[in-house]
Amino acid sequence: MTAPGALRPRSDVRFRRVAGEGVVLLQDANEVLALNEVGARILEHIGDGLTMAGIVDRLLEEFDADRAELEADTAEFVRELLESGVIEAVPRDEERPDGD
Amino acid sequence: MTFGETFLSDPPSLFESRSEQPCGAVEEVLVVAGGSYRCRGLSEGQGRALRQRYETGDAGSPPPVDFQFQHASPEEFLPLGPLVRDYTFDLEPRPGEVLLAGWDFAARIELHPVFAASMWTPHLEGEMFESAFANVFRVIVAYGVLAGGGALLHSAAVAEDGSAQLFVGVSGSGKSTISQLALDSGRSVLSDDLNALWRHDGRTYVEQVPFTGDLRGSLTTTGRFPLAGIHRLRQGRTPMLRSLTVAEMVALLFGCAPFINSDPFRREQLLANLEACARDIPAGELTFALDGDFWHLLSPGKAS
Repeated sequence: MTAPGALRPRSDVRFRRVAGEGVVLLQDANEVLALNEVGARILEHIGDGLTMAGIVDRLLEEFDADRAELEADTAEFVRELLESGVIEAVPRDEERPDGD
Repeated sequence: MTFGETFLSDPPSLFESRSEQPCGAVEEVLVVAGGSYRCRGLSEGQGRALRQRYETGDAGSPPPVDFQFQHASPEEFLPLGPLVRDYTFDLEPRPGEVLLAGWDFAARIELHPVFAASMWTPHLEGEMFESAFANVFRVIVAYGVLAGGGALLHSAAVAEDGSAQLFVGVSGSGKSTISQLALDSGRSVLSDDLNALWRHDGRTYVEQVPFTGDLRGSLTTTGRFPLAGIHRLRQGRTPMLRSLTVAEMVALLFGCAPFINSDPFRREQLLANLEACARDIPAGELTFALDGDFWHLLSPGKAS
């Protein structure tokens, strides 16, 4: 898995837990996305400042899943979050020394 | 393009504080979607138009929203030209208020500290007044329903056996079609255009609102009904119903909430209201066929 730099939700993004899943409001684009339970957890972990490896470790504790499969799915989902403007890469000069 | 410059000769001055100049002395209380709106300063012709078109009543509880009508000079508005028929009015949400400007009208909806509204128009009667009022009142009702914990939604609502099903979808998805199919099958339709969802005593209700739709004039049911289901519409040959999660439904309903979903100061409240309204309601994607053989999917155990 390619390890991207630190990630964070974009400043215009608002997130709500809804019945175990998640709803994401993109204020600037005026769009709302629905996330399933795992997707909602991934976004929450990104908001907590976890790295990709940290997110996968945490998901393995929370869900019954295979590591290799979870790594691939998480990487794909994170790519979708980046493309849809939900999250962004943290500039190098703003990265925290210890993301996990 | 700045707010109001298409419609108003001097947008800032119209909204600045100035002496009140009511259109007349008539007062009417309009009752819509769990709220009441005390319209003050109406001319005789304006009052007559509202009585003919909207449900009037006594101010109930909670107290009515104060809605003042001010007479403005025709010179304060810009002409749109003889060929203009459909246009989009300007809406400017601000932290504590919302401003509107359109063809021969302007309005301010104050949301804080109290919910109140003012409307300026040069028309004391006639179609131009009725059109301007309908544009303004739809927005006021959308904010009124939001303040009451609900949402105004582009949707069709079909009532049967004391409850109602709500159908949502993008323009062209079939809201008017399914409404016509409902009427053809003997069911009642609240509206094929706009309905209000709101919470009361722990239940979600759907209520008709007095705004236009393709089937206005054919509608036989008024009032409010407990909400039994929310369905995203999809036309197809094989009728089927696929479940949607609450999160999927909230995201879908957000896109169907006019005015509020483009208000950056109120979107989060809208999401909270939609979650509250949709949380306990069965939700699904309904694929329906024009032969109408799908109603049994919405009422399991009951024949079409």
